[in-house]
Amino acid sequence: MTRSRVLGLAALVALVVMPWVLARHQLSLLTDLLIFGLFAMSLDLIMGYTGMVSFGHAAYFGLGAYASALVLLDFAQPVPVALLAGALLAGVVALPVGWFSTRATGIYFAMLTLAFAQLLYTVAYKWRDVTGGSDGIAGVPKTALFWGGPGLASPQAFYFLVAACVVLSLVLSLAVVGSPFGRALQAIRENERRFTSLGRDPRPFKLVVFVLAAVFAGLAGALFAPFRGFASPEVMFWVFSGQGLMMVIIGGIGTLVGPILGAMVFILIQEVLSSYTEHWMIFTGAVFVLIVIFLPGGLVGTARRLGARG
Amino acid sequence: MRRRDFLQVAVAGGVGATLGVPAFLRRTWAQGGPIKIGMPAALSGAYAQYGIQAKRAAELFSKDIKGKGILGRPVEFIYEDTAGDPATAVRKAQKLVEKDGVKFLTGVALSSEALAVSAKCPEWKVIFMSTINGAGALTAKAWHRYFFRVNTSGPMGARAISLYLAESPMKRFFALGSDYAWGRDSVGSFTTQITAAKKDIVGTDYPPVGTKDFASYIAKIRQSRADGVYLALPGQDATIYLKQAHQFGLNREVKPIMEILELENMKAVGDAMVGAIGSSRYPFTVDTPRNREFVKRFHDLHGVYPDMFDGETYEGLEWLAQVITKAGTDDVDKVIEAWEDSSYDGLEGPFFMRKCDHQAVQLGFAVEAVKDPKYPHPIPKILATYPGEKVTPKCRTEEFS
Repeated sequence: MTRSRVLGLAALVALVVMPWVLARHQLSLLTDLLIFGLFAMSLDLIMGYTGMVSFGHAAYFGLGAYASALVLLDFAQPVPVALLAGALLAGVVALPVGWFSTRATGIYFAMLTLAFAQLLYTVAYKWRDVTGGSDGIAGVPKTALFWGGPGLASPQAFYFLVAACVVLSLVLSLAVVGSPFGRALQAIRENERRFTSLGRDPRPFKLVVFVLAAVFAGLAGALFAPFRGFASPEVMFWVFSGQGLMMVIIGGIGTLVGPILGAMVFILIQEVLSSYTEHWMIFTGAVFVLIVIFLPGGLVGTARRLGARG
Repeated sequence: MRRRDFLQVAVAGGVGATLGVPAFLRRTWAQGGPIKIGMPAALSGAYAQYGIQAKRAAELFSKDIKGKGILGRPVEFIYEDTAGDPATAVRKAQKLVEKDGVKFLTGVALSSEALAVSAKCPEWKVIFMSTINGAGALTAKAWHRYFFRVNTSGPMGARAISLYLAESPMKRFFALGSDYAWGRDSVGSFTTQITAAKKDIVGTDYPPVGTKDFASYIAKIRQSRADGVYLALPGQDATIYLKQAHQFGLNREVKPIMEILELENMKAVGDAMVGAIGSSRYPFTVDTPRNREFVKRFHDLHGVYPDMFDGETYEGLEWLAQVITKAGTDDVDKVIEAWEDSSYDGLEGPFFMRKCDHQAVQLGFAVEAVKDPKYPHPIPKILATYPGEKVTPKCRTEEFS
């Protein structure tokens, strides 16, 4: 426990000093990595701790991005209002979706989440008056921190906002999985039938964690829109949900920190290789296969195992 | 630990192997500070053909100015693959600007990518030169002074073909557009202009992107007894539609009118395409001395005839070079000033960059796919050429006077 605390503190210090260490483009990249890291982390809440594999998690990221884009562009509210709107919308939509999806388990749960996500994607794609259709919404501004407050246009300011959101979300998620509620989730993951036989209904637990994961994904999306300056249907597409799964697996299922690192590795590989070849996907795939075969617990899982061995 | 070492070696090997491929090697210049042009283009994925066209044009352009450079400085192109995804396009563009220090971005393929990347350019203070993007909004609602459009826009293409149809004996039209922004905008523009020309739209439909079976649409079009069918379908969809319509014998009854008549389609569809008409942003068959030279150089280098965006991108690059030379610097603000209200002698004719919305005023073409034994595939034959003033919309709008 002390060791992980030391590591956590070191990571926090590293995050704080980064703007003075990194070049401008590296800081932009790191901001991007953190946003996708938050997305992957939120997926791990349902995937790693409750054993529910969602194939439609991108939908909540997308909902967050659209809500945030509209709030910033049409109402010119401060960024935190947009973040709140994004997280809320994702959570509100996840409630009925989760209510239906958690009735099923395993592959049926995966298919239901996929179906709902594609439905939401189609809405974003077709509802041109609101979402701009396939063109998306471009020109989303980075407004102020609060009404009349300091602007967030500088790369450093926005980086700190993103880093703060990610750290807070991580701390909150760690607290959730460590709580009795989190233990119950893990019990469901390990043996849902036994959990039921102990006299508890697993569905409310599953529903709550599903909505919670959607809220964090929505927050990530809400950060993405002002950072990248746009929202478009691609961020709701199933391909992005699939990439989320890859990020979680690369980083380590059920570790929360792992998926954040997994997202970073995933995007860095893409970023570096795609500058050299249009066949970068072959290499991303190869790395994924190698990690699954040789590092079954993902990056963090393997590191922990090695650490435990001494 | 040995396994991890293996992984490291494998990854390093993979990176090394890709680095070793000469085609992807970036040119490094010893000194003099090259003028860098960033191309965040779709080089993989469903829209790769457009990114590849931009890249081919840039390759020819580099070859042509080799030794001379611009302002005596070498020109360096930096290509990045966006896979047609706007999120990736913005990230790649940001990398090009912040890391590589490019001051000019071009070669962006899709409208969604262009709208997203262009919106960031005022913040980055770099010029976005569109040579492919058709969306009318780019020079209207979404316009800013860092954006320049060298190519014919979507509404301009629709205008050219409408002008042609206005004088044709055809009276009744069916409009078929893919169900996304471009398809719907094109059908909208076409409908407005064709009704203004006192002709009738007898039916409209929007098949989803990626439709494989057009039988029900073909039946509807036949029933409508239209003289012509206006098609705003992207690459593969257009190919499939034309082949099926040919099998049903529809192309003889109802003339296909393409939003853009591309070589790419003509190669894929072959003889079934003959007789189709449409607008072209750059038909390689334009008979000017400059263009004949260009087509020959292009064919020598790439072994194929230049498609629309090969030509348009080449023209953009040539014009940009001319403007930088005129400004005497690659300073972004000076280049913008030098470009506004400037003229350029393009491959197919004269170009003028109007100051009010940075839309290049240029000739509009109506073309027909015809067979010519000299070429391995149908080629665009020019039916009519319209002067720039007639095919360019009013400033910062998508409307025509």
